[in-house]
Amino acid sequence: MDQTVKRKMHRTIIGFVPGESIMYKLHPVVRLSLYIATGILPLFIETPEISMLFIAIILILFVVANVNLNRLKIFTPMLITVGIIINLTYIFFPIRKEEGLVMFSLLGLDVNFYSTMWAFAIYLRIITLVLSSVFYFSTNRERDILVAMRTIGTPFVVSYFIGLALRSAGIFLEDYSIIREAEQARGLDVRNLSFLGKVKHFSMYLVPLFTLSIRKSDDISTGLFAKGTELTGKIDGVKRADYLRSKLRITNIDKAWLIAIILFTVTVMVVSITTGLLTIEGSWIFQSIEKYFFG
Amino acid sequence: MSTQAVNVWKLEEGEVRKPGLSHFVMMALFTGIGVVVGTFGSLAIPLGYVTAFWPGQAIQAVGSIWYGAWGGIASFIFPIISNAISGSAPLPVSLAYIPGNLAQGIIAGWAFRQFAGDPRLKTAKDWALFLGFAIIISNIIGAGWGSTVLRWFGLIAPDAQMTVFIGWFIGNAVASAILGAVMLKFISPIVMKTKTFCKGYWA
Amino acid sequence: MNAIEIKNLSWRYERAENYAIEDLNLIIEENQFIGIVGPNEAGKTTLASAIKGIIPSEFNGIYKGTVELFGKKVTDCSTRELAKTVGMVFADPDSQFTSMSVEEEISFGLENIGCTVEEIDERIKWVSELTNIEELLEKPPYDLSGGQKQRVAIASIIAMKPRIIILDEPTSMLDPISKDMIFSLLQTMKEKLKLTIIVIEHNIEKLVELSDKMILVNDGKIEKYTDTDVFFQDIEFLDSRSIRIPGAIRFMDMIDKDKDDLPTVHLQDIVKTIKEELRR
Repeated sequence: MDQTVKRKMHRTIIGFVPGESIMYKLHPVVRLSLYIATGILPLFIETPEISMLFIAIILILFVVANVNLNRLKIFTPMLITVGIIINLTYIFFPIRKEEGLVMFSLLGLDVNFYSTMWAFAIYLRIITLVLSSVFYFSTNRERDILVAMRTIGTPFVVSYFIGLALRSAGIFLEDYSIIREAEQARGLDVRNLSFLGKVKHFSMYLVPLFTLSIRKSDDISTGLFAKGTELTGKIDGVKRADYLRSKLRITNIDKAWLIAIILFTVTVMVVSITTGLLTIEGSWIFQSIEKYFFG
Repeated sequence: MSTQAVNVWKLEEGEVRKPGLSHFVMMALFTGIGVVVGTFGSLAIPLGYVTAFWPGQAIQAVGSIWYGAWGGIASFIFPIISNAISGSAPLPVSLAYIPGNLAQGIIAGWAFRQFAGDPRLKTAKDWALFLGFAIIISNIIGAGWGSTVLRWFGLIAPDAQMTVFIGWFIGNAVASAILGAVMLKFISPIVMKTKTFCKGYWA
Repeated sequence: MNAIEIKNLSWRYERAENYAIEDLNLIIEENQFIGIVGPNEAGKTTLASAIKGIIPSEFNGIYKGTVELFGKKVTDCSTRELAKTVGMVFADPDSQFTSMSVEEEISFGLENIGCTVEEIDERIKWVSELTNIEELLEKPPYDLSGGQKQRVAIASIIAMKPRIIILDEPTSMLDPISKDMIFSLLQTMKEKLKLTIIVIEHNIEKLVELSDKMILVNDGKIEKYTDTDVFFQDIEFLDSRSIRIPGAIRFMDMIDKDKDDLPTVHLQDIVKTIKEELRR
């Protein structure tokens, strides 16, 4: 029972976040730096086993952060199809084929060793990047994203624009569900439609949705005018107060995390650029398979 | 199909149009809509990032036809957000896509203004502009740029770029042609009456 | 002092054939509670928008005449000055929310008018107590009930401490219980805050209990502007303008039109008088 309560997820505009999470103890800017670091680092790692370690660490983070792992299910089809496509392109259009290292033939097609290994390394890299992105949006509410953006010095107009865009996405989804419910109430079941019918139907949703959105955009701009909104970071020459940011102060622990994340990222980048440690050739998986097939 | 052409982009005598808060709000709203459509497109029909059936390009093209540069800005921002939410492209790849996404948006807006096309798709010329610029040319550039980015990041084999380009082009063009035509034909008459409709690039 | 002074105001929306308001004159004194009634499309919202300065700032059209707030023309005021002087609450609270939490929604307007973080903190505490939304501060505005949303919308405006507050049909999208809560909040505002309150409402029964004066807007013109007691003296005229007369007022009108000392408007006074009459 306790576990159920702990794992309770809260709805955000762009998904779900846990009701309670250790991640919330960190300032949003630390979480953003973690996202940026995990979004950059995989690009410097070719070695499959290190990428797998990276994936394991992110999955552990999911558990530690109290994120309901069932949420990851919706990304499974995406991850499978991406894997298929990467592998197919490298099988049909192999790289370094001149080296002639053919592992085996599949339906008359030579499966090239280096090309396959490279596809595997790239696939692991993409999984790492996708998971890091999903992790960020599963542990940050919209307001955390805005606070982080403002903390790193994003101009008010930009952070406000992002906030308004996310809010608009929410408005659009609310309207969409109202229209869908109304259609279902009148007996429409989209599951019975053909693929083309579904596409056509989805397109036709947009007519009432856009009409509603246009009306709402007028209302929102009138509402913003009524609240004295001017899209500037200064009020009468003085920097605009940032109430939201004032509520979330950066602690010494946050600073320590920030330094650690930056140092770790820079170290991995330097190691990757200056040594061959993180290349695919340095991988023991690569070497073992090469040895198995080609001695 | 009517053959009578009216230049909807021409300012009337004494007409003053200024960019304002309402344009900013509309840009944010359009970005929000793009986020939803882009995310749904990526998650509902997950064919990976290569042959994606991605209706988001319709939002990009139509946005810049209706809202000029505001739609153009929305066209490269919303894919960054929707790709991050749907997990269809990591952040560095999304950032690298920016020029392609911008092209997928602004080309249509430029063409309709330059060649006096009617967003309501009333004449054969309007359809030709829509299909020629908003769909074919935009997607050739977008798919060309996108497949090059994938190659740069090593996400596809270099020799596969042409195949990926064709897959990308067809995937985006078909979805966008259907969605874009519906949006322009049925929603343009409403949009054109609003104060946020841009006859120029900013107002 | 006059809070609002409108002289010969006419406004026609772009592409509209007729003027929404035409040659309108109006003076509203400071610290009064004004109720505005009238049939649909009469020009009530246009009038409110002109006072707030939304017209002509946010709409295209033809604008003639002047609207002055405490002696200054709205067309000479900046958006920020207008926000400090007049606050406006709209019928659909959802369309006013642009933030991710109630607390941010309130703080946003305060940041716009140049409040410091400390001031914002104080005002949020003050207004959330006044409007009874302390429990909602952390919640996203779009996840609230209709009545809660409208209370948040009103709180976000009160927090800016404008000298005039306009509420445009604040209960039109609410259920009966939420409507009552909003009217009780209006009662609190009237009692505790020194400001000019203008409420456009179709719920006249509740409105008359609060209004010092009533305005009838019809066909873009002000047809009646008097003390609330006097406003309901000519019921046939109000009927002809499709104004829904509260049952108690109609009842008193039917009892005796000529008796000046009978209460005609406030329900409690009417009930008290009738009880006394019945006892006799």
